Formats: sequence, C-alpha cells, structure tokens
Amino acid sequence: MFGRRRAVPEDRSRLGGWLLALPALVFTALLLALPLGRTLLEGGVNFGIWRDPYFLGRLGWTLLQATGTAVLALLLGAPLAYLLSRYDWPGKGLFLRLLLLPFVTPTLVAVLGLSALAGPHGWLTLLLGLDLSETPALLLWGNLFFNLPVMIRLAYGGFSRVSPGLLGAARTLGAGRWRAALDVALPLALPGLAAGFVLVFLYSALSFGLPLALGGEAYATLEVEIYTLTALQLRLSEASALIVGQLALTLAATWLYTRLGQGGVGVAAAGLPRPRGGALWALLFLCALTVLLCFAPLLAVALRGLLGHGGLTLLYWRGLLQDEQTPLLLGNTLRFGLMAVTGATLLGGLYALGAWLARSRLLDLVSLLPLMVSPVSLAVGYLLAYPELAATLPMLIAAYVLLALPLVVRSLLPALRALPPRLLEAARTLGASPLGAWRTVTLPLVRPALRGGAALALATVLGEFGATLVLTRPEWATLSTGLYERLGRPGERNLGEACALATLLLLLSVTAFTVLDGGEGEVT
Amino acid sequence: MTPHLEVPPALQTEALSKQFGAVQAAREVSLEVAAGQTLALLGPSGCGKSTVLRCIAGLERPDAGRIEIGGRDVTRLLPEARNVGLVFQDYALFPHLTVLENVAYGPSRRGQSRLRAGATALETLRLVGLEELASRKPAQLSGGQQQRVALARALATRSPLLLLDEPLSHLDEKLRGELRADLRALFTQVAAGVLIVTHDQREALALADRVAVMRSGELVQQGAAREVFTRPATAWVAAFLGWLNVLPQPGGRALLVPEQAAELGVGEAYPVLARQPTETGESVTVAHLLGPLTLNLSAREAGVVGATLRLQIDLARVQTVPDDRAGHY
Repeated sequence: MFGRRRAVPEDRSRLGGWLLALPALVFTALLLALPLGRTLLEGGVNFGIWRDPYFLGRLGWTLLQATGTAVLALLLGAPLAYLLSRYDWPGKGLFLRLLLLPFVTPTLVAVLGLSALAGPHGWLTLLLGLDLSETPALLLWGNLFFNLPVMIRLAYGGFSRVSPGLLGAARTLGAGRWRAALDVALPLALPGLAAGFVLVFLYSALSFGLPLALGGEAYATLEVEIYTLTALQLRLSEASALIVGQLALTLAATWLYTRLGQGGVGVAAAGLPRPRGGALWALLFLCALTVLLCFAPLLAVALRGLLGHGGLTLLYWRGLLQDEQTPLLLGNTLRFGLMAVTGATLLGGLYALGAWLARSRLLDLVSLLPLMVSPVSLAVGYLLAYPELAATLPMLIAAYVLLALPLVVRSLLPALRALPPRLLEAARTLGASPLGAWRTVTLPLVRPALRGGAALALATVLGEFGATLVLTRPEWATLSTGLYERLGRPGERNLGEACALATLLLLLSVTAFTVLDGGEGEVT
Repeated sequence: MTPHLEVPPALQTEALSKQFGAVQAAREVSLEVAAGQTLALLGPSGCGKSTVLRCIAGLERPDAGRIEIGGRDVTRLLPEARNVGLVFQDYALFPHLTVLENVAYGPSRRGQSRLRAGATALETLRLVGLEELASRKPAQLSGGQQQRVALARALATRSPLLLLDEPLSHLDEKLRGELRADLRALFTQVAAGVLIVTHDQREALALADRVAVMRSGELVQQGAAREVFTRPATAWVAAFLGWLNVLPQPGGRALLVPEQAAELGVGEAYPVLARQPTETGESVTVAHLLGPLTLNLSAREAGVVGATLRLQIDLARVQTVPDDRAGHY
C-alpha cells in the first residue's frame, strides 16, 4: 500500500453508501436529468431572452417576492421560535404539531382558503373594505401560509439546542433577558435560522400553484412564465433559457442550504418556566398572528363548504357525496398515493442510508434536486423523452415517487446523523454484524423519522396536481384534479362543492399523515 | 505474573501503533493481561489510552502491531468477532430497549435463543443488583444505575476480556467510592481479564492488580500497582501519580521524597513557607535544604506548627529518578 494506511472499514462503508444510493441515483437520472436535458435540447437554449427587459422584470419580481417572504418569515418566526424554546405552557406541543398542517395542505386548498378570506368577495375583504386581490399581498400571504411553519420549526430546532445554562450564565453576568437572547442564543442558533431563511426563499422562488392562481398576470414568477412558454405558447427555446437560469439560482441557494448543515432536532429542555409579563404578551401576539396566517385559510375553506346564502347547509356536501365521480376520485387518490409512497420510502430510505454512510455533500445536494426543478418543464420533458409511456400509470407513479423522494430523504438523513456513533459501536462489540446492528439499533431509532417522512410524502402526493394535470387520463382523475376542474366551473354551487371537496382532501391528507406518522415524527 | 503457563493471557498486544494525521496516538504499545487479572491503563486525557482500547475492541484499526485475545490473533477481525465486553465511557445504552433487553442484546447476538438470552441477562442483572429495574428504559435510570447496566451488558457476553473506558468518570464522588468496591468484588467473581482505561490514579490503585502508565502515546512504566505507585520510574510519572515532593536536581535528575520519609518534631527547624487547610488537616510547605517540601499534616500535628517546623528526612527512603517533565506533557 502506498502513502499512509487508512482505516479500511470506513472506506468500505463509504463505498457501500454509494452503492445503496445507486438505485435512487439511477431513478433520478432517468426521471429528472434525462427529461430535463431532453427539454433543453428540443429547442436549443435561447439565452437572448435574458436581455429582454420583460423577462428580467420577471426574474426581479421572483427574487423580490421570495426575499420578501423569507424576511417576513424570519421576522415573525425567529422571535416566536425563541419564545417557544424558552417557555412552556399547556398546548405548546399541540401548537407545534398543528404547524405541520400547512405542510400537508394541497396548494389548491390553500388557494381556495385565501380567496375565501381575501379574494374579491372574501370575508376579510368585505369586513375591512380592503381588496387585496389585485395586490401582491395575497401571494405573500400564500407564501407565508406554507413557509412560516418551515421557518418556525427550523428556528425552534436551532434555539432548542442552546442550553438554558448558557442563557443563565449570560443573565448572571449582567445581560438582560433580551440582551442574553441577542448575545448568546441568536449566534448559536444562527445556522438554523439561516437554513430556514434559505429554504423559505427557495420554496417561495419555485412555487407554481400559488403565483399561478393568486398572482395573476401582473405578478407572474419565472415558474409561471416557464409554464406559459412551454404549455401554452410552445416556445421551448425561450423556456429552456428560463429553466437554465432558474436552475443556476436554485442550485446556488440549495448548495448554501446544505452547507449550513444543522444536524438533528433540538431536544426540548425539561422544566421550562411559564411565560409571564412581556414574554407572555409577545407570545400571545405572535401565536395569534401565526394562527391567522396559517390556520384561518383552512378554517375558511371548511366554512365555505358549509355556508350557503341562507346560513348553514349540507347542500354542497350532499352534492359532492352523491356525485358518482367522487368514489373514483377518492379511490384513485388513495391508490396512487400508497403506490408512490411505497416506492419513495424504499428508494429514499436506501438513499438516505447511503448518503449517511458515504458522508457525501454531493448526495445531500442531489437529494434536493427534485424540489428545485420546475415540475412543468419536467412533465414536458417526460412527454418528449418517453413518448411511448406518456399516458401510462407507471409514468404517473414514477413522477409522484420523484416528488416524494426528497421528503423521505430530508426527514431520514438528520435522524441518521443524530445517531450517537457509540451506539452502533456498542452493538458491534456485543456481537452484532453490520447488518444486525442496523436492524436492531439503527432502524428502531430512526423509525419515527422514516414514518414522518413517508407521511409527509403521502400527504404531498395526495394533493399533487401539476404533474397529474399533464400526465393523467380522465379515468385516473384524482381529488386534486377534480378540485381543479370544479374551480373552472362558474357558480355559487360549484364553489361550495369545490370547498367541500377541498375539505375532504384536507381531511384525507391530515388523516393519512396522522396515521402514518403516529404523532412522533419530526419533520423539517 | 502468569499463574499457569498453559492458560493463554486474556489479552496481549504487541507493538501496537496508531497515527491520526500528524498525531501519534499510540506508539509500540505492548500490554499483557492474564486471565483473572485487572490491568489499569493510566494516563492524562489525550495520551492515547482510549485509542489503544478502541484498537483492542476492533473499533479502530491499528497501523501496526498485533492483538491477541485468549491466545487468538484478532488483529484483522471485525469487532463482533472479537468476543470482548466493552463498557463505554458514556455507557452507550440503547435508548429504545429496556434494561433487560439491553443486557440480553449481547447473548442473543452471539447466538443464544431469546429465552436463554433473557435468563442470562436476568442472572447478570442480579449480579449487579438491578434485577428489579429490568423493565425500565435507560432514560429512567440514574447515572449510577446506567453505569451498572452498561457493566451488566458487557458481563452478560461472558467474554474472557472485559474492557472499561473511564468507568466511573461520570459519577459523583460518593457513588464512585461505592462502585469501586463493587467492581473489585465483581472482577474477582467473573474471572475474566479486565483492562481499565482511566486518568484517575486512585481508581487505578483501587481496582487494578497491575498498572501501565501512558504518556503521549507511549508506555512509560508498567508493573504491579503498588510497585508503580511506590517506585515511580520518572519524575513525570511521580508527579502524575500525585507525589507531592518531586524536587528537581541539577543534571536532569529529580528527588522523590515520600511523606513517610519525614519524621516530625526532631532534627532541624525549617522555616514554614505556606500553610493551606485541607479536608483532614493542613498542608504545610517548609524550606528544606533539598527544596520546598510539602507535607500533609493531621489537625493535631498542625496544631504545633509555628513559624518553623522541626523535621528530619530519612534519606534512605528518598529516590532519585530522571526528570523528564520538561518538553511534552
């Protein structure tokens, strides 16, 4: 052997890691890289489009709204997360669990809820006499609805890792309550906060359904432009230039996100005090604001499905349940969802294990790719790359698996990284083979995270409509495409039924999530 | 010290070396632990003793050297094939298993049926006095109880070699005293070879038959525990073992003056330089001709100390050793 001898077992486990990740890598190559490349090749890339002031304006707006959302989420989420990590009160656990609701809310349901509140005829609009529907405020609200919980949970993780002893030390050295938070807790929680900021920026920059439905033409983002260029105007070369630009932007942000590496979830300290005085008022205010932003739209959807002109009514629900299509929608949704989650859990589980063993930043980054690539351009790429599979069930399920994959990996990887290495060593010295140690120690300890990731994946697939819309056939209609179709029909009754359908979809998502997750999983 | 020639030693390492980057964590470390014997590998933190332990357990692969356990060459074997019982410093109890399941883990991984493993585990728990906590989870135990479970888990494997990494470092003083006595009794009972890694010289003296002192990756002295403590080979070893009076001399030598060499109340009066109350009396430093001498006096002896103290040193009991304290530590 040449050079210094290295620890052989470690090298072997790194190689094994890459091997474990291989199936998911091949899958990602076939379903992401290849179709995307095909889309880009089809019409060539017309970079001239980046000199067009119109598209530069779209880019500027995309960046502006994403940055604005991230800043707002940070300003609201960081202080709330800090207070949550320092004080305890009955119901705090429930509040943190409820923050998962927006994660599992289908985009269309959120759109309906926001319109019911702040649309042209929304309740808030009528109440305040202030129409937000023609302003970007509605889009920002939509972004915050989905992303404020992301920020709060990531920041909470960061702040929870700061031991109360450190803050106590700062206090005895003469720092006031807020001074101690600023001097000690903030710098230590900074990686968590920065990760939250970058992730919120990414999600907001890439979201498609919200700006399509809430922004209108005036506030279209790059993603909406890509959709318009490819699906409606068939200007592939221009779209390709936008896709490349967007990809470069998101790759940079994602790289930053993985660099900020914040391992595991903080352990909540025991015996936290009850909030009093200023802290209590700040908590109440921030919690109320979060409830308004994140939960009010969901309540509005449920209410809209129950309120007719003459007050409470079951008319819409009856209409929905009597519709002969409803059982088909429900059955399809559940069937596709379960198939996709099984695939994603298997592939994603192996991939996460591989990325952990290989200790590779590259694998970490690649796992996020499906979240960063425009689903519309992907769907178009599928049609171009695999024309013979265009309207087949495997294609649709594969697209779902690709979407669900990152959620499983992102949930499992931190849990694996948080495993104390001593535990596995202990298992080995007690006579367990590497596989035995994995089965008896690793798996039971990361099972909650695996279940959480699978639950999140299932909820996402249940609400998916972008890819479904492009790849589906009428007999494969799901709840979300059914909802989309109903939204297109005019009339009070159709809106009511759409809201009832949205409530059904939301209930299904929440139930699926709760059953699979078992209330234990940590999701970030 | 090998009691029967036909019984192979529980552990034998030959010229074990391990390097991490530029740091030589272990350099040609050769140790031997006979069956039924306890060896303490003693050294300050960072001296490489834990690396030696991890190499023996198979968790680290040595760059060079050879490891035999019970006469079998295990240098190239995986940890699970080495048949050692290891107690981790932070215990590394499996949080998702009960106390009984933790202790039964080793036997069942090594091929015992579930029922047999459970019985072995219960028997071992009885040995450490924890059978009534068998159904608890590790998080529900106190530090001392966790330590006993970790010990039981290692013992239940019935391994011929038991490795303990700083076994008492996470416990408070009172518990440490109790457990020391228990451990010693346990070691005689199980008849395995025991290797304890520790930085605490009192722990080594209380638990081990033999002591090996390690410094910067190298063994500097090895021998019967009492012998090493009463006759340190160098000034550094003496100071590390807690000798109060290691007096540098010209020519790179040092004098070791044991407290028992001083007879009080006779001989010349030496000026007292400093007095410091201790838990049992007082520590007094006098300006002796050999150098500043520090003596621990009982409260009664300290009562008669004035500005001077009369004492006589029995020079026959003073040892001269090389002074190797400068440079690396």
